[in-house]
Amino acid sequence: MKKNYYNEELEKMLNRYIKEEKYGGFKPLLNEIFQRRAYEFQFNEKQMKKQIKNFVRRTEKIGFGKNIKKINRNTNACLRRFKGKGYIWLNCEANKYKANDIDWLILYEELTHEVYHAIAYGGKCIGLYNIKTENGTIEDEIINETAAIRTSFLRTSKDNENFRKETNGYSEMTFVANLLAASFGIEERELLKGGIQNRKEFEKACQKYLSKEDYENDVSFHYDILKGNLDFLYNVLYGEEENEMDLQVLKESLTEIYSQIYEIASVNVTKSTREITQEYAEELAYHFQKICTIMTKSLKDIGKRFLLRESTVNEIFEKAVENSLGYLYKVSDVIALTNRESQIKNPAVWEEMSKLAKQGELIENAEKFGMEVGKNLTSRYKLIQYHKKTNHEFENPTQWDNQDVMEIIEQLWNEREVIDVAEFEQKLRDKTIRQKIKDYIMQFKNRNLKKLEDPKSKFKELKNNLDEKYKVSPENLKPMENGKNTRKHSKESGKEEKM
Amino acid sequence: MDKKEIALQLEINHRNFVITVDKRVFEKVENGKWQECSKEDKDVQALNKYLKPPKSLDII
Repeated sequence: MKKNYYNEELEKMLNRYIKEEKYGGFKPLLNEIFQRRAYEFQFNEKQMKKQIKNFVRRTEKIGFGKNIKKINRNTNACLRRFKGKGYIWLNCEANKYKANDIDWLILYEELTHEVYHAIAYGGKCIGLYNIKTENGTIEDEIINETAAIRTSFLRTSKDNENFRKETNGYSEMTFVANLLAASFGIEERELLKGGIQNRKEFEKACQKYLSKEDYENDVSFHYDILKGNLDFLYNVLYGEEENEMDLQVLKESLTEIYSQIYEIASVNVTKSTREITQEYAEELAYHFQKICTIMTKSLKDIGKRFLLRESTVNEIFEKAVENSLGYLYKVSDVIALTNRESQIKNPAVWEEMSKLAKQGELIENAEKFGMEVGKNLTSRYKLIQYHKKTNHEFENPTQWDNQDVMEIIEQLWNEREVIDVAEFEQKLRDKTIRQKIKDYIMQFKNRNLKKLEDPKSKFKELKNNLDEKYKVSPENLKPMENGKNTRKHSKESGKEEKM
Repeated sequence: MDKKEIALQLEINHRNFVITVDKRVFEKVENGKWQECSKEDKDVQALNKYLKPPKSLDII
């Protein structure tokens, strides 16, 4: 049965490029992954063609592997890169894969995550990797994971309440991807679409409502600080060994991440290129609520996992609230302004009030404009809390048809050929060593051949010179005094014909 | 070092460190100035744990 998110042209393209001979039973899953990616993130056919071709060019193998944990103890699936080629491994040792539909879907989601990495690997498509070192980054991981979850699972009402869907991988960190979209005032779909392509597209999405200049001067450094702290947090949560400084780094980095999220959100209101409208106010109310809810829940979850003291959690929370004040002022100002929109007839006054609202100074100057509005924090919070909120993003979440996906995964699992990833990689390295030795021998052979060729040609050259030098024309030949003629002499010397 | 470059401030063994967004480590020295730390410094080596990239995209 044709799925409503399937694109027929894309299907033809996928069948042309993705071959069963190369990817075996994973082919139908790859088709599904690309179809969902195109649909959810609204990529056109040209963009998809580029992505599919890049994937096929770079991805050598997809398989079930064991001993993945020897390579990285924190991963269940991975994309390993070797000499420009990618190898996707799904961990077949993980205990969680039982004959259970939900678990098959987790496996599909993990495959999606790695395929997304592979699509953005190589050439100009470099995802959110560190361009200098070509290392992966945690921002790349959390963006990929959030995008993969979005195209694998259905969204529930609980997810809507939490303003996010929990993820399978990097579960304590992906909340940052949800927060980032809110602080940039854009839909998650837009942020993820940029992030799963490359840095340029990602920044373009982040700057949707900002001028390039404002982004570079007032926002990008907040984002750089946030990125730095994501690395610290990652190494505390998923680092190789525990360290006595972990708690201190956890506390500082988490505080900094929340602070920067609020800073970005705040600057984004002041510098926004958007006019103040009802729609904008409703979106702001939604984003404000989203940031507060996600921040509180993520802090609670991390606190629980690390058995943080209540005082430490409160300290982080208070610091975050302190940093949210600028944003709170601006959002409540914009809402207060739109609440009085019908009463403001003079465009110049509206202009002046809009400017003040974007700077968070309107309610402070309420009397000047004859506004009666509470100035304290509680009044401002209430203003936002009871305002209508618009969430375009998940009004109609896509209903993925997962039935056949789970059946295929189950079948692949039952018929799987298990490859020892550590051994496989060793063979790749050995092959390279063997190739290097072969190359070295060939080089040596060639050098010797060259050596052999050289004397030959030199000998020929010398001989020709000698021939030329001692060439005697027949007319000049004279009989020898002792009766021996030149011919006889020549015969003896064996040079007759050549004379 | 610009304030905009500071990603994290930490106090380790009564020493004040900052890590910049490009992962350099500085220590506060006399007169409140910041000096870039040597990689051999034991406390800096301990901090290196927090500067590693994620592993799932390893190059073999």
